[in-house]
Amino acid sequence: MAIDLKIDRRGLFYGAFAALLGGSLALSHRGARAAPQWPGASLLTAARIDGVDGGALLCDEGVCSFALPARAHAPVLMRDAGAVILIGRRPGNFAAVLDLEAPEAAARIFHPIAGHRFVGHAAVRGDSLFTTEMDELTGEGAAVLRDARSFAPRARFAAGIEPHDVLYARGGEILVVAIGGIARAADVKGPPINAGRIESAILELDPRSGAVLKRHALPDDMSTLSLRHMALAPDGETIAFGMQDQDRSMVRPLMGLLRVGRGIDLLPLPAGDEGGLRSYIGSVAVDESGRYVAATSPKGGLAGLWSLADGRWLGGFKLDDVCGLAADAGPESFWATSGHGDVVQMEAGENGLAAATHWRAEAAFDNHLLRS
Amino acid sequence: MQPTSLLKLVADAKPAQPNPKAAQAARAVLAVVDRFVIPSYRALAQAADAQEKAWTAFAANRAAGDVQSLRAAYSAACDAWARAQLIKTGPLSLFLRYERFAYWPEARNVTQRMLDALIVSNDPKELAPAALVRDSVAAQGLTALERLLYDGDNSVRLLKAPGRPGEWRTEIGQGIARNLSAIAKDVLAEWTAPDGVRAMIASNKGWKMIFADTAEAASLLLTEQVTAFRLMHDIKLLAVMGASADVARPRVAEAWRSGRSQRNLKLNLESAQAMTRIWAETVPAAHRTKLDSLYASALKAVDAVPADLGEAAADARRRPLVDSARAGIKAVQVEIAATLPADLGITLGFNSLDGD
Repeated sequence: MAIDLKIDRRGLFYGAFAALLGGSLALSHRGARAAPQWPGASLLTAARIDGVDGGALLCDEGVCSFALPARAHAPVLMRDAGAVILIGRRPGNFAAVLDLEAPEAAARIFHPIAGHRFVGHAAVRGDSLFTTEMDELTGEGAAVLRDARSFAPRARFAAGIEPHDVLYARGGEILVVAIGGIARAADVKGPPINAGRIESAILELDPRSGAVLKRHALPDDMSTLSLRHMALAPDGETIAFGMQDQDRSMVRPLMGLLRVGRGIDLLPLPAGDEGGLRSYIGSVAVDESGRYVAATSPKGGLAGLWSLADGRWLGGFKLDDVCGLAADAGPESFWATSGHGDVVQMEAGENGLAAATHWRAEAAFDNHLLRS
Repeated sequence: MQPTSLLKLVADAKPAQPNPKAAQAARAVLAVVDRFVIPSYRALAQAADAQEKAWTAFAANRAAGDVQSLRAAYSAACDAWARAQLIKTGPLSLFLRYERFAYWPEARNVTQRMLDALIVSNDPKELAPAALVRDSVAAQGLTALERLLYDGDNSVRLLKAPGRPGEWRTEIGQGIARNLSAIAKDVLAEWTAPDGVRAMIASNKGWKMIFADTAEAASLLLTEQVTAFRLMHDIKLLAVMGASADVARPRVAEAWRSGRSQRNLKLNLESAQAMTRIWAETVPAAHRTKLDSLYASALKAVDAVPADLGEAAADARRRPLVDSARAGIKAVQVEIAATLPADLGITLGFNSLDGD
């Protein structure tokens, strides 16, 4: 039986998921306890549950899991198609498409272009899908344009060494690709060749031609930083990005803001605890109001918050192995997940982040979180 | 898709419960540092120093010098590295020292290409300590030394070649050996100094941006124990074996030129066992016994792997020997992950374990 998709405050996954989980199970559990109750978002993430790599849907206090061929990385919503793609973790050889109208059906699988590996990220707009992929021998990367219905590749736009996160900005006019820049064999997670002088950058591409419109790079004294993850602000022009430092002998900035067509501003490290992020950002999000930027560091067990308007550090929230991060549908609110099964709704404010509600499941939630 | 479980509300109004096993974990991590980590780095520093001296002696009189003495010193350094390389965190993780010590697995034969470029440059400035700290990790370390020492019969001829070519090639080897010795000495010193890693762990303080207290250090070091199995299983075996003998990649095997692939793996496993035994001193006896028994089986299987591990993986007849070693190592890995963290009260990360 097909299940109607309802896009309401509970999110796109809600209808199918609630039916799968069984209303009575969820309701009886909810009824057994006083408030606070699950605030009505639905979340999707890659996860390892009972030792099996796959994905997990979370809503109404329930977890629904499904197996995948291997560990996945970022979930990407295809709102028009009522589907979610989970891209295989680097060096990935699959992407799985989950039909939200028939979540009980096996995920549809597609693969990287010949001789390439996925790196865990993709961006969708209308009938276009971009996957970032790497040549498995050379590490040279590309943004691969695919048909968003058939997933067939249409074009390969060279993008430099080790592309990672990718998103559309300015209403789809610009494709933005974070180039991690860490050169290594793409099929084995060996050490980087060039860790001391990474050529990391963020590229603005014309999504039709692949032409590089602008290349944003860091100063020479920051050549151990790899720009990897991004989040678009509601203005469609401002991108918050997070980095990973390949050298932890000194502190360097780990967060920045990019204004499309203009340039980069770096954000400060946590005040009073400059090493608190442990040289590593795993996920980035901007809240629905566009006032706050949040980022997670699983190595530091810290989610941090900055003011988007003036770049100030506002404060952090400690959570072991936190990584998954998504803005809530409402303003000044984020969701975070951890490798220990935590699911936390956090309120953002001038004093940083604070847990509004904290849940836990028997699951290891992976790097990235999708909220619908 | 399966409904798995319901989320549980965490009573986050209450302060976090103190870890009842915190003292046990703190004692265990200090024992691992004192009886495994520091002795491994001390042995590495000694072997690297001996290797530097061997190159210095060879350089002083190349005509009479014995390349075999360089190979013996390289082998001793590799033995020490196979034991020490399991601990990447702390000083070895700074300044890309791990990668500089042995850049492997290498991408696209880059070590050979960078080494060739260095040889062509004939520029001693490239061997200055400052240059080696700054330059690509590929043309230095044990991986590059192996190229100089085990290029068939050419190695002896090229190193002993009269005039500048032989002299320059020897200077390169000497420069790499000097750099290895400096790295090993610095790493040992930073572990053992009065304000070093060991002292900070003992006094529940933080060290640089690596850890904030003893509990985080314990988690990092136990993570190294677990990650050691990924190195052995995923990188040293699976990547070489491929799905079947006809798609195996013998040249992906570690140190195949010097014939050390199996030996390095065996020393890794023995080293992992030595570390596990220290961690496991306070865990339930049944868990300890099971770990010992799984290690014994894995070591027996690794002993049976031919020295040319990569070639054996590509040979349908000998491949089962490699696969049994892989299965034996996997069994230890699974048991360690299942019992050690919980027995020791040390939480391991999932996302923090392996960046992306």
